[in-house]
Amino acid sequence: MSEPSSATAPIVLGVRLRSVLGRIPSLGLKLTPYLLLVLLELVYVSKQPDAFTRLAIGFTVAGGLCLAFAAAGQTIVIMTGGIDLSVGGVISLATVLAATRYHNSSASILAWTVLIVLIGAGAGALNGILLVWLNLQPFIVTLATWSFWSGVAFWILPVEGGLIPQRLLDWVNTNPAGFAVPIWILVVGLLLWMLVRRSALMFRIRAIGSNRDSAYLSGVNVPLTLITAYAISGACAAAGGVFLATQISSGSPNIGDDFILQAVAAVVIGGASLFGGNGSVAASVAGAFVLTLAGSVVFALGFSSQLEGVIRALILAAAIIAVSAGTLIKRRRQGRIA
Amino acid sequence: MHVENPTAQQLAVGDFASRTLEGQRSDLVVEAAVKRYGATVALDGADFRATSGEVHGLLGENGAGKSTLIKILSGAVSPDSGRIELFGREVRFRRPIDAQRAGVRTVFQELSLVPDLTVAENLVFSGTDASTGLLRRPRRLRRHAVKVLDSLGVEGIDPDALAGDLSLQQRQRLEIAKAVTAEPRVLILDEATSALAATEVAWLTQLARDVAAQGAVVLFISHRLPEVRAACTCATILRNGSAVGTYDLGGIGDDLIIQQMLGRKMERLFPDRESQARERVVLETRGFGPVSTSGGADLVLHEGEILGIGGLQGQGQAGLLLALYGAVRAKGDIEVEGRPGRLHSPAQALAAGVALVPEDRGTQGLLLNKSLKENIALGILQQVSRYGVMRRDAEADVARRAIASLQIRASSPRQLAGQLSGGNQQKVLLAKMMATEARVLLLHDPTRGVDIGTKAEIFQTMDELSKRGISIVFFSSDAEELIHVCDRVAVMSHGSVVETLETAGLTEERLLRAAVRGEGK
Repeated sequence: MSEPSSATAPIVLGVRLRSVLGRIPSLGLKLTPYLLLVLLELVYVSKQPDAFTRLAIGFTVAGGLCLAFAAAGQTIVIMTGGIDLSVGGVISLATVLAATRYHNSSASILAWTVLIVLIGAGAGALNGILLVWLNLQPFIVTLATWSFWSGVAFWILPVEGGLIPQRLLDWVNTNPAGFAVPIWILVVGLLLWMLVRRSALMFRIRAIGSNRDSAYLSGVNVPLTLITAYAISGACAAAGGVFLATQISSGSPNIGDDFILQAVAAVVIGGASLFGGNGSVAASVAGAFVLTLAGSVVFALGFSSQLEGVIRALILAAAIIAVSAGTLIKRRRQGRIA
Repeated sequence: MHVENPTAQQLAVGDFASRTLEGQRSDLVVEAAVKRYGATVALDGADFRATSGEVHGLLGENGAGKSTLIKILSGAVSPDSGRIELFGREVRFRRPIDAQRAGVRTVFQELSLVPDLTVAENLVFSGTDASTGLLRRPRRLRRHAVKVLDSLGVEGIDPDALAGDLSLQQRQRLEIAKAVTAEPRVLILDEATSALAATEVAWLTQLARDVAAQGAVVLFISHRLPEVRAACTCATILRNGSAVGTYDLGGIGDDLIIQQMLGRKMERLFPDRESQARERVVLETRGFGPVSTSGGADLVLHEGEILGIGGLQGQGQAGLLLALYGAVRAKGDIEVEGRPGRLHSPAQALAAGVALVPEDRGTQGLLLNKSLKENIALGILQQVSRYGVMRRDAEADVARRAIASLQIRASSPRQLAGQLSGGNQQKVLLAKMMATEARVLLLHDPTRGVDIGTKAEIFQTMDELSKRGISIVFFSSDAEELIHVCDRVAVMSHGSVVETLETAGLTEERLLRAAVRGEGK
């Protein structure tokens, strides 16, 4: 394209302006989960002014971090058009391993943390291998492995208990550079996502979710990419489980189950389609904290605990309507059928 | 396609039998229809009138606004402004069901059957018919389907088969049957012939006339002028989102129609082909094909050669291309660049320099909900990423070069592939595979549903590629294309190559004879 002459410059500028303005709805769509998060935080702070302190924010982050991890991994799997129910079993297994295997030394804690995350990645990769080789539905495969890893967790530790070394609990409660450790973990995690967001791997994952046949015919190694996606999900769930163990100071063989559908809900609030093809880990993490804060807000608004489920459901419904309204506007603008 | 027509060339532009609108009864009227998608204007105040009782052609290049006009008439999209009148009454379609209730049935280019329902179920599956709602009695349903298919002359389709298991041609015929059996007042056939064999096109032509004779408005959209001439009495030509005019087809020659469609004179459809084939063999097969089929093809492809794949429909051509690309399990021997050994996946094929432009651009070729840029990048992730991280600049560069070199009509590299017109989607697909820098290009009917201007551009591109030493295997269902574009044509029957013909001096008749003779063996 040649340089615009001075006479056509205003027109060119007009066209550019229109294309910039045209992107606002899709930008707004991307921002919806974050705006929801800010809105909930504002409501929360208006009722509990002391909630906007570094300490309180640290608590909030700690309360939602395990879900954020699970939602991050779930996002990757959902981008392929799949779903990972086994995160429930993997989270439980991770808490149980942490509560029974850690010794009170830095070396032991570090080595076992790495090992647990690798076990999670292996469990995830197993999902991928099973669904690729046996050509099964992700729902069924991960339902089975969820049960399997829950069983393993029960076998290791039949009741909630075990012990998390004091050294680890102390470290989690420190405030390096003035911010609580959970906040640092969150920041590092999000930075990591910024790095991999533009990776060829994520591109392949989205391509598979968008049109698997086309991705295959374009030379994408579909089996390997799927196995990698599920391995990432498993690793994230295991990391979340380790952190969860430090919050409850013990291991529990069924604590992970609550996180399965919550993680999927967080991904939906983050704007990803359950049919695959798109998704953002950062937005899903925001979705996870929307769900976490919703609980706190119900409490802060003074509703009785019996009503908590109903109010949380209403907040969830409002969040999903806000996200899907944005999607609808975008589809209309693109002139797609229905 | 006969672009040269001496009688038509003698006509001056002012001489055409353009229809005057006064005094003409119009049962379908579209006035000043406007539709914008963001910055793209798809329809720019189009006026259009059609009369019941005749089959009315709709002509135009890809992107001229035909698809948008049809979508508006079918209620799939709402116009930004303008009005529609149907049999004297103004109508406003907000959803497809509104149009269906008003009696408009459309056979879309993208087939809309439900793949997991049977043929019989698909025939009655409709939003407007409440009586089929709750209990579907399989036996009655089957009887109904047999009756419908018989009465419309649809042969060779099992009512109990799943729609998803049918071939493209069968699905297309079923789709047509489904639309016609609803007894529409307006029947729209959007590129309904592009997937059909010659005999089936004749069937559709007769069917369209019958439906019109029963008092319906029939709109017939095709890129193949001979088909339009056979089916229609008159045609409206669209260009750049508005109607150029409506003409009685008896009084206008092909050259002038094409000139009106393009807004300029077209040089020619086929390039002046001089064989670029060199001595060196880049691809050789013996008894090669998918494991699941009979026969096996013996092929020799030289450097810079365009090798046509011909034969009757469904003689294993599609499977052969997929097998060459490593996308299905293959049997037989194959050597690529002198190296024996089969390709086990498209990834391996691409690494070996073999690329495929697949049959169905929507379900196999493109990611319709991703941008043009992303679609092109998908085939060349190694090139546009460094240390596993995508390089935006490289990605955008490749896309911009593709848009420029193939003259893809898109508002920006960020435009979604699904928003482009069919011909432009095909160009994106070709660009994507050219970007892989493959030495062997396998093309599966790349001109299916593509307008004449784009066809000429695709043939031109193929010619240029072969001059650069790239070898092309070109499967086409159009004998004329094979003769004019290829250096040699391999005629297939039952999965085997029965004869390989030089195209110099080859006639369509000779090609057909080879195909039919192979059939007899």
